[in-house]
Amino acid sequence: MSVHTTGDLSDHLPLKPLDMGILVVLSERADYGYQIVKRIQRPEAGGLRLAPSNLYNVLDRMIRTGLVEDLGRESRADGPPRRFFGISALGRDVLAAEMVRVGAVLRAVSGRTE
Amino acid sequence: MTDPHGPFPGEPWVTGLVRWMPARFREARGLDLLDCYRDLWNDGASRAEGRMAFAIRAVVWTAWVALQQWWVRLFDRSYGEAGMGWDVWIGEVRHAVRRLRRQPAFTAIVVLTLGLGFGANTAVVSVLHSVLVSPLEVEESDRLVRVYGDRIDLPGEFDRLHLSTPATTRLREQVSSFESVAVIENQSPSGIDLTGGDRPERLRLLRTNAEYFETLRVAPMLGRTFDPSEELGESRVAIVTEGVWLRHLGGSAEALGSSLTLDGEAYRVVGVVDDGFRDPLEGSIDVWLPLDLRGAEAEYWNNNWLTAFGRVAPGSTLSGLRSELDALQSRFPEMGGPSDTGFATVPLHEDLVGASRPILLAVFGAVSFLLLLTAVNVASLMMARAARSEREFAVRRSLGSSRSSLLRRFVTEATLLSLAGGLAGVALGLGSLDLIATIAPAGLPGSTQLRMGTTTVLVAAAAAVFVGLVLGGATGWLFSKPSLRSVASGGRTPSVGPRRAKLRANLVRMEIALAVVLLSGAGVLLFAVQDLRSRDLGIDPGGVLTFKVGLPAARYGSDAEIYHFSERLHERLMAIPGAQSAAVTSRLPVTGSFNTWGTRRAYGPDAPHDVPNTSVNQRWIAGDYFETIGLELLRGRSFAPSDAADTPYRTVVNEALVESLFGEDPPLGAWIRVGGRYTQIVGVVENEALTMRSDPSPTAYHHQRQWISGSKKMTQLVRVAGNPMAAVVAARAAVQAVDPDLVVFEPAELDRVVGRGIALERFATVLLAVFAGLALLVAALGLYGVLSHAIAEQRHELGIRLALGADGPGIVGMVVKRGLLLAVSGGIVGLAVVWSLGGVVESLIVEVDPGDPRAILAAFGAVLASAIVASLVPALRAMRVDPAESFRGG
Repeated sequence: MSVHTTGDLSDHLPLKPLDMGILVVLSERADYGYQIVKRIQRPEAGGLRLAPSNLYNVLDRMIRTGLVEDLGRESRADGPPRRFFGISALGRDVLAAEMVRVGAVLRAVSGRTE
Repeated sequence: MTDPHGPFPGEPWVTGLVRWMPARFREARGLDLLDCYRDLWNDGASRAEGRMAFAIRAVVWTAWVALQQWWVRLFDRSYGEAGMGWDVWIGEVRHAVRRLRRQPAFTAIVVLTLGLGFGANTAVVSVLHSVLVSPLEVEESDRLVRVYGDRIDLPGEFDRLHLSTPATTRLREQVSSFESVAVIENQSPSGIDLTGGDRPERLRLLRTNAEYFETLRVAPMLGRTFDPSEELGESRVAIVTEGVWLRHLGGSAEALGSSLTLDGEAYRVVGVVDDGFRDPLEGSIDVWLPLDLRGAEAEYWNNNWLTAFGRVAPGSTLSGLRSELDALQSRFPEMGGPSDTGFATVPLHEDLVGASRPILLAVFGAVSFLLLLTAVNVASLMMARAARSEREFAVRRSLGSSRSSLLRRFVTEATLLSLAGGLAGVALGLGSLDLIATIAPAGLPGSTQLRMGTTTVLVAAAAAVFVGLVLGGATGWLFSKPSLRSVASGGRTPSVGPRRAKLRANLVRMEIALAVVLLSGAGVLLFAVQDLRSRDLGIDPGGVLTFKVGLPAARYGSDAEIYHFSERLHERLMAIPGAQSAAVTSRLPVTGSFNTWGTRRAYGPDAPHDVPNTSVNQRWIAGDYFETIGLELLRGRSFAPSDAADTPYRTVVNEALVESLFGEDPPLGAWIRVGGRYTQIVGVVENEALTMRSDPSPTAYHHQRQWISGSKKMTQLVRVAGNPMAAVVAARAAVQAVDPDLVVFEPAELDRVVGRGIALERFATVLLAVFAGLALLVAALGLYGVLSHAIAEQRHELGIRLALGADGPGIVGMVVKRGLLLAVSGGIVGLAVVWSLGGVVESLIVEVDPGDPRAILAAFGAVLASAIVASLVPALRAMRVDPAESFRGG
């Protein structure tokens, strides 16, 4: 796994909610396009709605910025082969940094309400 | 994939769609798209609105995805590369501009051709917008509803009757769905003479109720509107426009309360209204006076003389209004009103434009064909130009240039050309609007203020981009895949050349087909209008001058005074040089129903009363009326001096009246009862048509000497030798000689007045004829281009033929024959389109026969004639090919 400087990471922060949702589901496991759309709709990924027509745009952008990797076509047991996408090393680092950032905000807010 | 809802029926469609996407996308994500549609379907199918919602979302998604994918492809962007290629785009535009500037003739022809198409379209869309969408420049005009009277005993027929005073009073007082109701005199132009200044001035007058201005959301710029207590005949208050206020009252605020002399009586000015205000039904008005709604006729149900439109109250609905009106009309009998008449409502906007919509939409359809034709023509030009550079494309391809880069070049060029054409079109459209306004019929709402809105310009721009993309995409598609053989053969590809030539020939066929459609459309309308014009109207309207004179009630109060004026004016008019006869009438012929009164056959003053009434148009005339309008006396006599005020009433009737009231009986000497009087028929005249289209209607003519009917707005007629309009000055002098305070207004030739009944059709015919002419020109130029190109290609072959002894005329014949064959085959396609569009045209314009053989023959003839002309030039050029040169060059 390559090591990125914090300067690199801060370029990507804060993450857009959609990007975060996609990174969250991909950090669990790589998947193909439409499954990603369905998985980010689940509450644990943020319950986000993404029009399938827009998914390719978002994925293309995330591939360009290096957060997501195109893993190529993979065969599946329950259907024809699909093109899979996974989280890149940079993506994992950015996601972790985002979690730290969001966590700090959460702690500050919960401290204020106590 | 698990599928709990059964198979997805749209699978083949989606698979087909996916196949259309670029290969890279198809492999990577095609199946995702299928999954997504399947889920969407299953999701939607469980809901009631499922299928529609699915279809809409599927179309939007697909279009969006396709756009993204094709964009990426066009700019050679792989999925992962940054940016959407604006840099590439700017570079392309720069190159395209440079290339187009190097070929100014080509650029100019394309821009001009597309400019014609776009120009005609923007002009027509502007007319459509001004006339159909925005003629009602009133705040929240969608809440205005016109109320008509309607016979309940004739269900299914919309009678469009006017309303009586008590009916409008009930509308105002008892219908809570109306916030306010405007009441005006029924639609008949009315004027009033303003005197007291240097010279009398005729003002356009509208009598209204108190809430009229409130209903139209107009606040006076000065003073107030009328008070309900002023709705009386003796009220002497007036509201004037800014113009009258400036001209006659000095334009000062103190002028309020001062008086104006109108028709000889002093009126106190209580309000001033902005000059820009137009009455939605009557147009521009100079002065408003209160209607007499609370006087003697307040409870008189039998005089339907009023027009009403109301503003629907906020929160009320049309159906609520309808049921309130139904409830109101059911109470009419207990109020003393009729039991057979109720209300009908039409949105005011619909009431104004409903009649002109079909024909204007037909014109719009025609102009769309013209745009299509110009686009096809440009496609043909672009293909010819691309064919000349085919070798260059092939070399570039073989040197590694991508197909998409070539495609991009075509799309950029075509879009630039199309945008320039659109710009030229907008300029052309703007320029032609004034011209269109001058030929638009006077009664067409909104036609006096034609303008091009921002929406029209934006739509034109979008259409220009679309046309550019399609033209560039199609040409680019064809020419971005030239085979390497064309490099080897120096640009001439034996297999590709004829195919392209065939394609261009087909484009020309398409142009000719479109021209035939437009020409026969224009022809159909032209012949329909001509048929209407050549109808026997029963009268001879040529050479007759008509004008109106309004007699002020103050000085012309009695029938004797009115008649005395008519007699004196008659003498003066007959003294005009060239005057052959003169007359006066309460209503000009062939201008529709007016004063339609119940009339019945009677057997003398003591005869029984149980004969049913028939609706008969009543006319009050004096002078040589029948002679002046050319209506022939068939039996009996016309009016004579012996028919005096103190002798029994005499009436002349038309044949239609004889037929409907008496059948076969001889009518001379018979009696009819009308307007509470018994009158004896002394003569029978020919039928005069009621309008340009309708059949003659029963009409009775009464003489002013015996019966004036109180009408002080009489129309004068003078038959003169020569141009009637040349007699206007003399007629004005004649009127002034009788009464210097009177004004001659609306002078016109009777011929023109009569023709106004079909003015809209004539207007549409002129527009269509111009468009058809342009279509023919563009199609002929297209044909010329194809033939010239073919001749240039065949120079070598022609040279050999000539060297082998072929004669010049033979060569000419060959080329002309080729042109004619193209024209005939295109024309046949055009006829098929005409035939298939016939139903649409018929549903739009009722009185038109879309299959009129005269129109179709004329269209075909025009196309063939122009094909011969377009073929002759290239044919003569072919004849002059120098055989020696072709051997040398060959």
